[in-house]
Amino acid sequence: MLNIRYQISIALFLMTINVFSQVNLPYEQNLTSYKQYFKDKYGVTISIPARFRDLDKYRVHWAVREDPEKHTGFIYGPFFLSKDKKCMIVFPSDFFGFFGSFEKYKTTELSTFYFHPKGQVTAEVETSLGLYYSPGDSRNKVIENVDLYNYVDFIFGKQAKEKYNADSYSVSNLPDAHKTYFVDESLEKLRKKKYPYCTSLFIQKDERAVLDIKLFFTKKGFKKKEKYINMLDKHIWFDEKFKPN
Amino acid sequence: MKKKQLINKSNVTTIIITILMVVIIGFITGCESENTLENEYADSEYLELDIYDKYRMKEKEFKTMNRAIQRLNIKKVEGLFKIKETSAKEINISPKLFNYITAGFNYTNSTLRPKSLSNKSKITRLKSGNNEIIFQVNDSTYCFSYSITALGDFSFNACKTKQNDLGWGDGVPVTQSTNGTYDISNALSFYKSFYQNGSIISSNSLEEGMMGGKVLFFRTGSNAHAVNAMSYDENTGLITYFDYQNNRAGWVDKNAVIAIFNKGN
Repeated sequence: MLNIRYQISIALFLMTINVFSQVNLPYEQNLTSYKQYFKDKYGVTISIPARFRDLDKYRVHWAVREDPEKHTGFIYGPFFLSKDKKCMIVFPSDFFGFFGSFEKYKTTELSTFYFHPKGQVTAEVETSLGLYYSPGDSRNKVIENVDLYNYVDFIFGKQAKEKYNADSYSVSNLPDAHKTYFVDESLEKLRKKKYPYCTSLFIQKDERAVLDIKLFFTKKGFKKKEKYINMLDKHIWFDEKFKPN
Repeated sequence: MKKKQLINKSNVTTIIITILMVVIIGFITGCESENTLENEYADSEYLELDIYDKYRMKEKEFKTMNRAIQRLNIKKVEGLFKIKETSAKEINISPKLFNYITAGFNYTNSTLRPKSLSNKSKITRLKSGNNEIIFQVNDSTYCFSYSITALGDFSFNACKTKQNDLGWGDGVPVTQSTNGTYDISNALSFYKSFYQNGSIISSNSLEEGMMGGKVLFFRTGSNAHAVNAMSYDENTGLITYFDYQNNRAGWVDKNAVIAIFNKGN
């Protein structure tokens, strides 16, 4: 039997590890804590479709290109793998933008078509096409709107409300998606081996939050990508009466 | 034998009646579905505008229009807005309001349509005014002002005006000496005009985790750019940032960082 001093030492050691791993983070790295954070801070309820299993991965950097000169990317986790293994859904570590500055350009009620993350949607496509490096870089080239819409659909209004109780969302397919990159050895190995397709799903609740979700597909999975995207319907739900603290 | 034929005849009749019933039920259900769809907003308020002159419209009119638009099923297909509903009745608004809104979308479509197509169109081309256009990459002249604005204490106009007053309308100067070090005294002075106790922190002293939007400068090509730092990963040395000026997120290696600004107390 362990003596009391030894037990206290172990308890302190475990506490130290826990504190170290959670330092300066808004939630603990488990699904319950993650969901609670999004619910409390942004009034969005997240539930995971039954056909997906949790890979227990958090705070993983993802980039559109492995090239360090091409900055476009974000930080993601948790990760979920469909039971048929044709789709991996990746949730964001935090909401996109995080400063809550939606009102900046919202001058009239008719700004219904203000899509906050359009810059990021565009950057992802541009970077994937090799047009964009980082902000201010003289080598950057801009994609024309007409070309951008070959890759992106922006959906406003009723459909967004029905699916997520949101105001708008976008679905974009990354060209050359097989060249994206996870800064995590095991995930990168998995992505490289099985998931050469990537679709971005940005969901916007006006004046509140944007969720940036990524879906990675196998070749077969990509052919039925709508099916997997639709699995998230009502599993991401913005509470209408939410009031931030 | 006769008995068997009778049973067969009876079976055939039953099958025909069953099929007929299924068709009739299907038809009725189909009609009901259609009615349900048409009457989805039957119990909602009937929407109409008192004024259709956009120069005289007030908040009330804009709000009503916004509510009407929320009832529409709008999708962007190949860059153009497409409205599923074809009549005012479907969403319980006045025909005049429906026409007004759909004309507005046609108007916007005409500005978004590629030139090759718009030449064939008889719709008058009108200037866009669409917010989406704002979010193309801008020049980085006011990136420092944008990143300070993002901290939530000062308006963009206040930051921009200050930048202009100091004669830095073409960008806050950050100079690099021949030994590779950066002179960021101007930048710190600008930052301190908003946060008196502001200071520079070393990228070597960063702690794992969230960075709370600290203003950060990094090298980009032959320029420098200001963004807001979101998160630092100690294992990889990567900093996730948000570029408030261009509404883009990305990550940068801490070795490319020139300076990180701390608000202080």
